[in-house]
Amino acid sequence: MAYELLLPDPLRSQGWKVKIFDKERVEEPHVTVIRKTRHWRFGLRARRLMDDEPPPNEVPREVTAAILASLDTLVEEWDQMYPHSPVNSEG
Amino acid sequence: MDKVFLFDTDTATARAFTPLHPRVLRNEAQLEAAFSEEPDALWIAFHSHVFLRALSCLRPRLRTSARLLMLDRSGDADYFRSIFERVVVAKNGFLAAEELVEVLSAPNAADLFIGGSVDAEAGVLLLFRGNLVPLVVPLGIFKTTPVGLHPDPGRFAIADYGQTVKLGDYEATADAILYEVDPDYRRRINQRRRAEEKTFGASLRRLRVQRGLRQSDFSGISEKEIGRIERGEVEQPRGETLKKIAKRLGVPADEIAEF
Repeated sequence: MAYELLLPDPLRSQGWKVKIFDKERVEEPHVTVIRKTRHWRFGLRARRLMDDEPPPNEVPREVTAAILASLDTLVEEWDQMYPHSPVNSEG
Repeated sequence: MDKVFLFDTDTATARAFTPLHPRVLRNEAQLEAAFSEEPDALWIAFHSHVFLRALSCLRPRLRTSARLLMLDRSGDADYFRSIFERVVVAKNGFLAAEELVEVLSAPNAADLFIGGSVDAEAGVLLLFRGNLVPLVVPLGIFKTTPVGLHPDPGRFAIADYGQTVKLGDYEATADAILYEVDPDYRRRINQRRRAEEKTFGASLRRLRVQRGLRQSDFSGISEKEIGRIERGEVEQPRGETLKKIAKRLGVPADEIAEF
């Protein structure tokens, strides 16, 4: 099943979720931030939001802080779920 | 958002769709006027037999370009296809009303799913996008995960406001599905990439990794050569080399750059 980073309230009750799904676009390694109909990808290599749309400034700092605080765990989970596209890989 | 018409004789059920600002229609005269005023509208109906009875009282008309979302799970789409260009009957696995309303009114509705159905014998999943456009997806794109989780088509559902397709405990993003099967979606996504990510080499790398292949998995082409192509250190391959790469990736050669 998808790996979900449990966010603290009020983020959680506001509908924010951070997940690594069983089927993702695998390059580049990332976690998916979701709120209702919008989603953002947070890159596990670059350690920042990857896309310009939707605007990255719509994601609360507390969400990115929670991701960075659990980065080692998220990298480990990603590598386990996508061993052919590990975070620390050039090829 | 397009004009929304809601046919319902029950005020309570219509209330859930208030955020769409629909015009609620309750009789044949109102139906007739609505078809004339807004031929391209989105129609939502709750009771198949009641709606069909009302439509049958209208004078015969040519098929409109309007779309119909029928929330009566027993509804038969065939009758309505004689009038509406696109008809979706919300069976099991569709979003609940609150999430459905959010998706239908979202600017990116076309990139979200509202429901669908599985034909396990044919090996396909039929998904409906938020603009009611259907998308046929081979079940084969959902692979058993490295930790051994099998997708279970018998437990299909849509979740997370149309962003997640669930096959049992297996979860796929709408983004990943669309990226794999919809060339128009890929093109839109790729237009937003930074310049250095739009090269043939970058596309090759993304597609190779998506397919779970290593640089050494291309018969007749060295690992070193694949690496150089991906890094843009050599010209874009042509001829036999390109054919070998395309064959191994399972896509036509001219589509590699779209990934």
